[in-house]
Amino acid sequence: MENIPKKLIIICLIMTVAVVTIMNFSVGDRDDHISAITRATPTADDPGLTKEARFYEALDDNYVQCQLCFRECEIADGQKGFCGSRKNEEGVLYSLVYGVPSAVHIDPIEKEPQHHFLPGTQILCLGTAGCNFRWKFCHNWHLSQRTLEEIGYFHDLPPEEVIEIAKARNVPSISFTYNEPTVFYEYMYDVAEAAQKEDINVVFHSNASMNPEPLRKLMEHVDSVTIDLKGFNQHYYRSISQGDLNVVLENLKIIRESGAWLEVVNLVVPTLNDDPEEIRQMARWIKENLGAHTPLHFSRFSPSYQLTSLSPTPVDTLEKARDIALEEGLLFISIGNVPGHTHNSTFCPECNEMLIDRHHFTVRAVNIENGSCTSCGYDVPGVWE
Amino acid sequence: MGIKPPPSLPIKLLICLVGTGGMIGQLLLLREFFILGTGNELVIGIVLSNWLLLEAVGSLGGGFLGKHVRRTWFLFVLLYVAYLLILPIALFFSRDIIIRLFQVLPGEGVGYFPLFIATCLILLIPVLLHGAHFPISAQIMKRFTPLHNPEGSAYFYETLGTLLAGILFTFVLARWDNIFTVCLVIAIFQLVILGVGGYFLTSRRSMLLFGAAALLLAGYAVPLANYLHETSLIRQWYGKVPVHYSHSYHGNIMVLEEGKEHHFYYDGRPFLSVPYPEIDAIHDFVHFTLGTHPQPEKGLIMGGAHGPFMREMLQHPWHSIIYTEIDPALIRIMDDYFPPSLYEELQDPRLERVYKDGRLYLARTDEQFDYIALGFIEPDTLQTNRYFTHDFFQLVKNRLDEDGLFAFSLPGSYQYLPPALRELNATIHATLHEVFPHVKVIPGELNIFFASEKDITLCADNIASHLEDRQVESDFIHPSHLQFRLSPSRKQWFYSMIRGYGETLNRDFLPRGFYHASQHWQQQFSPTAGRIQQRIEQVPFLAILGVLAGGGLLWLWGTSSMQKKKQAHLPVIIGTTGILGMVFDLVVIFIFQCLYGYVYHMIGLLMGVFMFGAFAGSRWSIPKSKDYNILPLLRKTEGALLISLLFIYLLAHIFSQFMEVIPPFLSIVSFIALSFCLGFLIGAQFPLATRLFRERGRHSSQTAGVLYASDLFGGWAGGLAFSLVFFPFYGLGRTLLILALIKSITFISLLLTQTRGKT
Ligand code: SF4
Ligand SMILES: [Zn+2]
Ligand SMILES: [Zn+2]
Repeated sequence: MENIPKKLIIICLIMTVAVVTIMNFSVGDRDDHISAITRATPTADDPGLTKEARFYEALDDNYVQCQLCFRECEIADGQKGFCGSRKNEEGVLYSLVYGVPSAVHIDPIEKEPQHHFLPGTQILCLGTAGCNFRWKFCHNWHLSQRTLEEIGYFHDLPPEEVIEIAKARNVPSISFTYNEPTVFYEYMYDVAEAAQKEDINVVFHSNASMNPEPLRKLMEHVDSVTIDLKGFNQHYYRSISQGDLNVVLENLKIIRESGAWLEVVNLVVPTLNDDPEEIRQMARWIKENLGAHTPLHFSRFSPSYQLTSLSPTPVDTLEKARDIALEEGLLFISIGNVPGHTHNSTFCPECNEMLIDRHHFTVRAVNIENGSCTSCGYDVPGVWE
Repeated sequence: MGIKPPPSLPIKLLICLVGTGGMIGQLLLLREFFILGTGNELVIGIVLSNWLLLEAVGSLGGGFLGKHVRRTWFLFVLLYVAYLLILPIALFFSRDIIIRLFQVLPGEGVGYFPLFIATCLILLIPVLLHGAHFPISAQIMKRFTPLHNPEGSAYFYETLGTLLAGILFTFVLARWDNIFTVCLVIAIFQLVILGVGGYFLTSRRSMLLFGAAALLLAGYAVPLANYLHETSLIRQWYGKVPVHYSHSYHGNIMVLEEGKEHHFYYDGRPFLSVPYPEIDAIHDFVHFTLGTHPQPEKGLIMGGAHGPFMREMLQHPWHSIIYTEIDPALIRIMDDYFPPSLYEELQDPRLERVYKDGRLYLARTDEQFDYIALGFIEPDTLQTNRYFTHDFFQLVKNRLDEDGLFAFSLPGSYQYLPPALRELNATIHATLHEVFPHVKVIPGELNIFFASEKDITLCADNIASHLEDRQVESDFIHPSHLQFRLSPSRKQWFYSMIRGYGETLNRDFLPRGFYHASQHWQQQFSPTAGRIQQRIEQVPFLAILGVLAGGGLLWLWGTSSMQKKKQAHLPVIIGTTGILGMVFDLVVIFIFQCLYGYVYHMIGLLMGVFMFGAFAGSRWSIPKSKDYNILPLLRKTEGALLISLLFIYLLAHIFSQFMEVIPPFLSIVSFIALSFCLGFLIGAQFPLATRLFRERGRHSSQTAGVLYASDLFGGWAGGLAFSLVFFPFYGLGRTLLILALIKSITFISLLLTQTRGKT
């Protein structure tokens, strides 16, 4: 009887040791394969508060009011604005993302999308962290819905170096895209100003929510703009993204007045903003306020970010939207994010011949010479050389 | 009335059906939440843990009611009928609770937290009701039968009902597409038995009304079930009625129709739309990988390579391609919704569809291939993670010619990779590299991985000339596009992004790929949850072991010095057994899923057998505990639990390593046996510990409550921690190691306890 516990102790201790040993052997720790494939790595240290923001006003008690975008955040000392990219430190507002893009790539300009601006060329794209909108289907949420701190990854790239890269890589245009460029206004502005001096084009892709003054100032250095007009319904803007449709519409007019090239993107999300009547109103508004020649892209939603279980927009819906916009008199309406679709290409409104044969982001042929349709001579609005 | 005792069969049957109803309800609700959680198996852990806790609370409530309400039969019938009524309601609302409660947009996904809250709310009433049933059943048993151990036999019949439900579910009901039909059929049966049985038991004519109600229900069951099914699906799928909705062995398949378009969903997530799929991704993957291959002749494609994908594949001059799916049922179902032209093209004699799980096929085939690929799947469930592990890559290597090519893709980005995606890509890269000497990646929205035993040349001209020679037509593969995708700076950027990540390889039972993929998913919804997870990851494993060991030793020292309160360690022993109980239940499910991927179907059987095992264990130990000193017996069960941890580990690895030789039938039998044995051990210990506790201590009912509560709390917390953190992050081995450490400590404490007579 007395021996049993002792035997048990021994057996169990042995078992435990065996368990420990075997299990620890099996937990595979990786050795050095990664080092075999690596090259340079960007830094992830805190860039710190280096650049004072523009367009803000000091208030009492070390509060500041940012006046860069329609939100006009009142920011307490030590706090960040709604976009997470501007911080008040002792009554001074700083841009947290000046010169520290988290994404730097060379893309085809078609990806922007920009269909009437130097087709088939490349753009040097810059994006940072943060956004002043909250769309739940944002494709670039990793950048736009996070602060730089949360991303913890950036390139140290002052404006001069951006210009240098563009020149070295022979890229004709620089684009501010990926996240909302409003939130890195100072950086964008300085790069744009420098680019203009070097004859490099400046493009940006935005939600058009800046305040008029900074926007007008910026437009002095900008050649082409893509604006997301997410819908034509104030409630939709308000409830889903805490945005403001009227601000967007006013800004579209300002951009049109500036003389820069302008294209408009409408992401059609099934059940959320696919009402044909709204699409009609939007097309009508564009024609009246921006002109019939403004390219309008109906873009297909596909599940992303938080809208993971919503099925993609039926192509039928997009085609109907295109028909509506045609009826309303718009001249250049394309269907985006449906690779292989005919209306990914651009057609001549006069003779219906294909002006630009486009396949997804690839331009296969351009039938425009000196800005005119090669088959009928129609003057195609846009920037062609 | 009641001169002679009524027959005991009706009451046994009724109690049995209480168990059946409970189990069926649990399985149906579990699968609904599984779909809400888009197939992430960790949801199983959340549901089962919450179920356990609520059921226990219900049981306490039932015990209280039983003591204070004298009309136990009335109470029994009330609970019985209430549960029958509430279950379809709970099922109905489970489909859209998240949409209503969290006001999400149509098609918006959710993280673990809303899922957790939603499970609690939906389970609340049905599980409380079901839990309350048990003590009442025991009283009823006592009242109507002359049995000497009414609690025991109530427990027996309820567990028997549970086991039957598990078997019935797995072999029959699991494939019924309409869960409300399942629910109503069971309800009708239960009502009939209640009516007839109740009449025999109580001789009250009024009981027959339940039988009448059953007949009435039976008359309307089909339209009613259809109505509930459709209405709830419409509420769930923002106003659309699925044209197809079915449960296969592996998961839930749904098709939504919009005009000429069909959207295919798997476990609640869209994965393909025809006739407009993400064709650019398909062209890139198919033509880049095949264009890199000098001469693909014999191919094997596993998983996520549906219609349009396969059509592109067939443009190349194969001798033969074998195509399998993770869920073979998909192949047949999708055919019905493909446009005729696509369907025709897929009837290519070179294409052989194998209606078998791809991994199992690969393990058991003798064929060699010169090209093996995975379609568009990612390791975001345990089911798919099976295709990205070291063990799987090894299988691929064995079946791949020496100069053959293995290819698959992972989610990436043209802009920026968040940390979880860096981890995911780095982990899989490292795992692949461990098996194949040559690994290359074309980064993009989809990162295309190439692996071979020979060097791989990724070159635009090469790809273009191969495609041209083979007369492959693709509007996508244009020189500027090739240049864009193969840009050296993008490649450099990708490697710089994943540098320093992916320290641990992805293995069958250390599913790091799954962990990072679901982490990425999680972070879309809650950056806070992501940060908490990161904190947890930073805790070194040795620190956990150290703290546990240190704490355990302190506790041992503390309890052994308190000689007079020797039972003080019993709540801890019971609590840790509670943890093990929940973990064992889950571990069998997870291991099965990691290996075979169709736990969706098998879960009923595995859970039913486990519960029956627990019952058998308690049956075995109760009489033993009466005889004499039970301490040695308790020690033996504790030791056996410890050994079983090692056994689980070994068995899991044997099954993963010898998949090619172990016949599927044998593996199923083994898993059932494993479930039974683990259940048995858990079940055997509780009565012994309780008995010892009573024997030794001053047993007020309050302290007995403590014992019960520690069992439950252990089970609940253990189940959540196991499924949300330990299994996915630390893997099976380390999790079992932690449990082994905990159980060794409690085991030692038992050894230190003096046997009776020496005190
Ligand atoms: S830019 Fe940012 S801080 Fe300034 S107002 Fe807009 S959201 Fe607020
Ligand atoms: Zn863009
Ligand atoms: Zn023309």
